[in-house]
Amino acid sequence: MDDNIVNTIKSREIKMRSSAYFRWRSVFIVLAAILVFLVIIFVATFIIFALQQNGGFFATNFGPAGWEIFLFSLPWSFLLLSIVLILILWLLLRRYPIIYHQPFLYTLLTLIIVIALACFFLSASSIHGGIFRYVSKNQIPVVTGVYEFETAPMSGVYRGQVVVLATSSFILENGLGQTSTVIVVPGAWPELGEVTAGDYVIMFGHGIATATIEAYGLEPIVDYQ
Amino acid sequence: MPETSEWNDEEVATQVQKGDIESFRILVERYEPKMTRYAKRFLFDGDEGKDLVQEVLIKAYVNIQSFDTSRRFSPWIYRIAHNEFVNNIKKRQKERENVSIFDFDLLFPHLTAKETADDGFNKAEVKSMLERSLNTLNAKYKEPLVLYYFEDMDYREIADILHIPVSTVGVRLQRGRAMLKKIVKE
Repeated sequence: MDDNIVNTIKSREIKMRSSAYFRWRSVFIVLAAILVFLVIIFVATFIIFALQQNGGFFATNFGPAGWEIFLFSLPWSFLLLSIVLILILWLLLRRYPIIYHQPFLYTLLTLIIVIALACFFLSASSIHGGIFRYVSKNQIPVVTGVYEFETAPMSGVYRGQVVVLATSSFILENGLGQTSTVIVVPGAWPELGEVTAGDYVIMFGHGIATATIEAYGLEPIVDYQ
Repeated sequence: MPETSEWNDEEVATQVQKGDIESFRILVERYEPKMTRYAKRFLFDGDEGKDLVQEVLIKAYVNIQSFDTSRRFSPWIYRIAHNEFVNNIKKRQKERENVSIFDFDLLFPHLTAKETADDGFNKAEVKSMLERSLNTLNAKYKEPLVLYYFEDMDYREIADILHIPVSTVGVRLQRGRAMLKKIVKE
């Protein structure tokens, strides 16, 4: 058979793939993996930014009801996308011993830690704040919809600008131009004194009457709009 | 300088990488019997087995520039054989359920990976049981057993051929031996 195979190689003029082919293939795989990794970081920082903007993170300060709001505030489609991207990254890298010698769970945990560290050092608002500001002023199909963080009435979390400030209440104007009176309950966290007129705030509370909200806590946020 | 025939596989592969097709004949001589034996244990016999082995050796030649000569040649060519045989099994369809893309064994870490752990079996005993029960054993457990007991590969080499963690090799061998014992008892 040995003659047969070597003769087949010679007669069929079977060509050996060049070392450059394998080098370029490795470069392509590594570049693709880096690209996927960067997209994961972009998506992960977007999830953090969205939770900062829609009040999901802030709501967790207010017990089980707040956690429920947090779960509803999660951009699930982006979470799903990041899981798919992590799987693609694993598929790209699984040919390397450093990946296939590890149980998948270890690889996954390592990736999550690396992504979390990258998100920690890269500010979510510095990446997405500018995009949010741009798409607020310029309508870009699909993207504008993605950067839409206006909360639904009665959702438990409200965002808007403080237009008139009183001792224990203020008037809030949301992104749609609708105003509500906000009564801040005594002992609300943090103190209302930290808020000034013109600030953009995110609040945790509930509607008690038409256009009247009782707030248990509020937090100033950066206005990107 | 030793004779060409005295070169180890990695030295021969280096020669082939330099464009010496004739040196590839040495690798074919050394690996054709091993690949045929391996194919047989994958239940590829006769002409089908021969064709597959030929395909494996040609693929080894075509892709030899991707072989890292600082590593062992044998796991590299067995990896090509593994892929070729598994793809063929998938084509056959009937064993599809045994060759899934993802395996839950790969998900979690395993503690049992000692190469000396043989569950009270000696090597000859397992080999004999394996010869008799190849057809009935699940492919997932059969392949590590064949590589360990018939091809004399160590855990790390088997892990490199199957692209699985070393600890998973240990677990599959352990489960495979237990299954063999059960099959033989029945």
